[in-house]
Amino acid sequence: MVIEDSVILQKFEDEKTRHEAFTLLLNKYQQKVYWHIRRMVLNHDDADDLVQDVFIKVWKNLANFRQDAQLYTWLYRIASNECITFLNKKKAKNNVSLDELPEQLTDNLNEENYFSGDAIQKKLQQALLTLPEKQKLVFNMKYYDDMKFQEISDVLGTSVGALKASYHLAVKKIEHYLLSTD
Amino acid sequence: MKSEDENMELEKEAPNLTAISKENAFETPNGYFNNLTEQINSQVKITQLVAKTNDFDTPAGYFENLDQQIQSRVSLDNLKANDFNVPANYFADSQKRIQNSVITKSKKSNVIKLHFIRYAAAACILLTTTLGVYINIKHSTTVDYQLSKIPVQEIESYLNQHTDGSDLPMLIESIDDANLSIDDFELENTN
Repeated sequence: MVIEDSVILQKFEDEKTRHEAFTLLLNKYQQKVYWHIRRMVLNHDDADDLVQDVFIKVWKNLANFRQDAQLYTWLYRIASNECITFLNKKKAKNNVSLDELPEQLTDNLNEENYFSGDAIQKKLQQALLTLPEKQKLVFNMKYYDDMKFQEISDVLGTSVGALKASYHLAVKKIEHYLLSTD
Repeated sequence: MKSEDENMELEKEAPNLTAISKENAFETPNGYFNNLTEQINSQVKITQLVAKTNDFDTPAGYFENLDQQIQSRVSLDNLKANDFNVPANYFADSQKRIQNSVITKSKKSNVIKLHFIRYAAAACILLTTTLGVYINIKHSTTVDYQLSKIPVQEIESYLNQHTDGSDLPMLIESIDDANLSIDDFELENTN
């Protein structure tokens, strides 16, 4: 049984049912948010930390959520921002260049780090790591989550036209990478 | 329908990409999502507790009026500011300038003071030593001084052995009338 967002938000407004509403929200969206983050940071432990940070922010700010936007696009926006902030910090902390970070991240793609993909799936992840972070977010939301460009626009605050161009460019880059490294 | 068109377009545009299974290659530890809700709820409770432990309070409406208060202070400071001008970067450079002048002055005075004392002390020692040596040498080289050091018996013995007629005028000059008489002189000469 899928619980409507409006029900969750209504329950959250009431102090007595706030925790219940939050649990309903978690049950409905935690996996989506987790996979959105995981595809960006690749590592499970990092994704685990980030998903908790995201939902703590959601708890703190849900009372101020304006219902003119969809709840899940708002959640995706928080998660996307957290991912970009995390990756930038990681680059700065490890003092690695933009070129070196993809190598470091793909080195972790093995069974110990909860990755079961075959060689071609690993290559696809390597191809995705060549994309700028925002372009990768666009690709992931469109390709894996089947989101509409309008919904992605609500998440990232970018125009639909720009998102379409960004997505097609990402597809071309990935295809080129897959061909060139065969 | 639109989605199908998009998929067909994608297959044409990127056949290698679409050939790869969309199946999720990432995994999670066993039972991860079963515990995730509980974990996040615990974190939320901790956050609430931490927020509650902040017992500091502000007066009612403090933050609403803070903006105005700060602006008023800024305006007041602007009014207090005088109309005198200073050269560009005066205050920025003043610290460096003062430090430079202080360091230079103190260095000079220290050097002069130390050298004066050293030189003065050295000069005194040198002067005293030189003067002492000079006086000593001068005094010790006089005939009177050197003769006074020779015992009287040795002088008498020397004169007895080496006196000849040419010494007579000098001996006569040296005769102290009060102490010697002609008789004494004659007696000694004949001996």
